[in-house]
Amino acid sequence: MVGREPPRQRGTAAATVRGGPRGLLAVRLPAAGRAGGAAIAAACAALALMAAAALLAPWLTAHDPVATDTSAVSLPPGTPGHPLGTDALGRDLAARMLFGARSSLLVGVVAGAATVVLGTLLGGLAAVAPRPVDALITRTADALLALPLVLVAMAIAAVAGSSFGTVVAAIAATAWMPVALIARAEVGALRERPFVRAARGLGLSRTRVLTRHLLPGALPPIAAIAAFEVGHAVLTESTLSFLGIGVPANRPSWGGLLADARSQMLSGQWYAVAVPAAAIVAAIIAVNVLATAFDRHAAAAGRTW
Amino acid sequence: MSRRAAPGAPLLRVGGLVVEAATGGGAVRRIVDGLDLDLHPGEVTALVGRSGSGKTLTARSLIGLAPRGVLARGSALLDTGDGAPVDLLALSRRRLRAVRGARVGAVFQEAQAGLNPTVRVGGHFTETLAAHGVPRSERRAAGAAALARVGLVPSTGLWTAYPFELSGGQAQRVAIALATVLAPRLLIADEITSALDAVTRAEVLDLLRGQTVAAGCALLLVTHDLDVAGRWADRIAVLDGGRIVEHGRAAALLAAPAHPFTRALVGGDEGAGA
Ligand SMILES: Nc1ncnc2c1ncn2[C@@H]1O[C@H](COP(=O)(O)OP(=O)(O)OP(=O)(O)O)[C@@H](O)[C@H]1O
Ligand SMILES: [Mg+2]
Repeated sequence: MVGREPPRQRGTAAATVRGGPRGLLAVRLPAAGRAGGAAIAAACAALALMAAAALLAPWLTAHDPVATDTSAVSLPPGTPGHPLGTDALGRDLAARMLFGARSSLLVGVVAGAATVVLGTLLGGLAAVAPRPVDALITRTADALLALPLVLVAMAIAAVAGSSFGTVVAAIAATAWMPVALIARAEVGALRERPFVRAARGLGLSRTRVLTRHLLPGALPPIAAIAAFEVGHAVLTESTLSFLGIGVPANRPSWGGLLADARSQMLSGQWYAVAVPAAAIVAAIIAVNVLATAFDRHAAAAGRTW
Repeated sequence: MSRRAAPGAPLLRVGGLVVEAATGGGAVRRIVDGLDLDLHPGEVTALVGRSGSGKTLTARSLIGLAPRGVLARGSALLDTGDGAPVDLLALSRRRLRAVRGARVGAVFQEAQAGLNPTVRVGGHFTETLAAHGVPRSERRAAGAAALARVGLVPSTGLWTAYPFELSGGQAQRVAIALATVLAPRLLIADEITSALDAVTRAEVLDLLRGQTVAAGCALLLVTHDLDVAGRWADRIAVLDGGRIVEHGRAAALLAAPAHPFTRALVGGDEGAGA
């Protein structure tokens, strides 16, 4: 069998997009073995801890994260009753970190999932749709990839007003492209597989063929990139919240904490910035470590079919 | 089948089939160039020809499954058993989908690859039957009956097996059962036995031939093996240069091949299609 299908960029998109962590805070795992195993364990532990903090926030602190207290402003860490100190309005930083984990991690997971779903659907559609639709989707993806996406997300969030939904939408709208390119390449490669042809020959509808016979086969490589998308979403959410256009200001988030702490930097209260910044960095590194491990595992296991 | 066409009327009449493949730079390559072929009810017709002669593209074009960049025109009138014949090449996508699987079945080479590795045997049947509106409660029984017809024991184990748990011969039978579960009028089988051992091949072809004759449907057996054609086909059509160069009763054609290409095939004998 020779030259079965005109070059539809099979595999190439996946090849360029895949192959390890992307962007800021991308980490390279040491080659498998001890160090790799330890990194994975540490990443799991860190994420489990953060998830627990987010879930159990109301039980882990006696303070209300948004209650101001003029008698206890700008206390340093270690003050009795305020383990991480307080901010300029006297709000307890530990409580704000715990409740902030809720916003940041929730947005990360939800926006990451939205990104993956959107990207998978658009990429799968591009692979099976008539050429004009395919061209529209791929051109849009290419154009978006060429833009500074944080600015695009900022524009969306600024126009739509800050809310949880807006942040998720802004992240998904600016992050779906790598997922779509992978989905398109994978589905495109599967299209000519004999079982797909057989399914069409049995009279199954296009939708059925796409959802039952094409997308499932494309999921393993998409799953590998999904975790990266979560890390990316956490970072974007922090950026937007830092700029004041993320989750609403009355809900603490790590990015919002950074924004609040800007003024305190100058008065020597570096910890007000360092603590949330460290949490953001740690969360993203942990997610990326797991994503890399997963990606490697998937690559090593190979396609089982 | 309710209404039988007039005696002698073909079940499928392919007329002036042209298949062209787009090559780079807007040019097209004509692979099939005006193919005419009649398939008759209750008969097995073998489409033979050397490798690359366009047998597979012809078979796939008939059910609208030509690969991307390959276009077919001409006509393929199928007597569906109810009403006027339909032109398979002119059907809307929706109507073609209703015809595929129900009126026309297709089995391709490498049956194992023709089954989705992540879907159980039973799942293949239920989704096919569902696509053609068979009620949920009847699907299992219909699938089991089809499996039994191809000589498999429709046990729960088989129904819940994944394709990779089947042998090549079992997978081929499952694929045939799947393509014939709705008793199509026409079955297209493209090189379905080239991966099987001689005994299994004989079993599978005996079975297909038996079904074809018994049900009065038509079987298009695509093969490059003249021995297979001679033993299991009623008629042989020889494809060369994009056209049918010779067409006739199997025995007569093999005994006295008229076209030089057929003569070469017959003369080359055992090694014929290789
Ligand atoms: N997707 C395609 N695009 C363009 N040309 C194709 C495509 N598929 C097949 N061809 C060409 O069409 C011709 C006929 O191919 P086809 O697969 O129909 O041959 P065949 O008779 O079935 O051969 P074989 O006996 O080896 O299966 C070949 O020259 C092949 O290169
Ligand atoms: Mg072929």
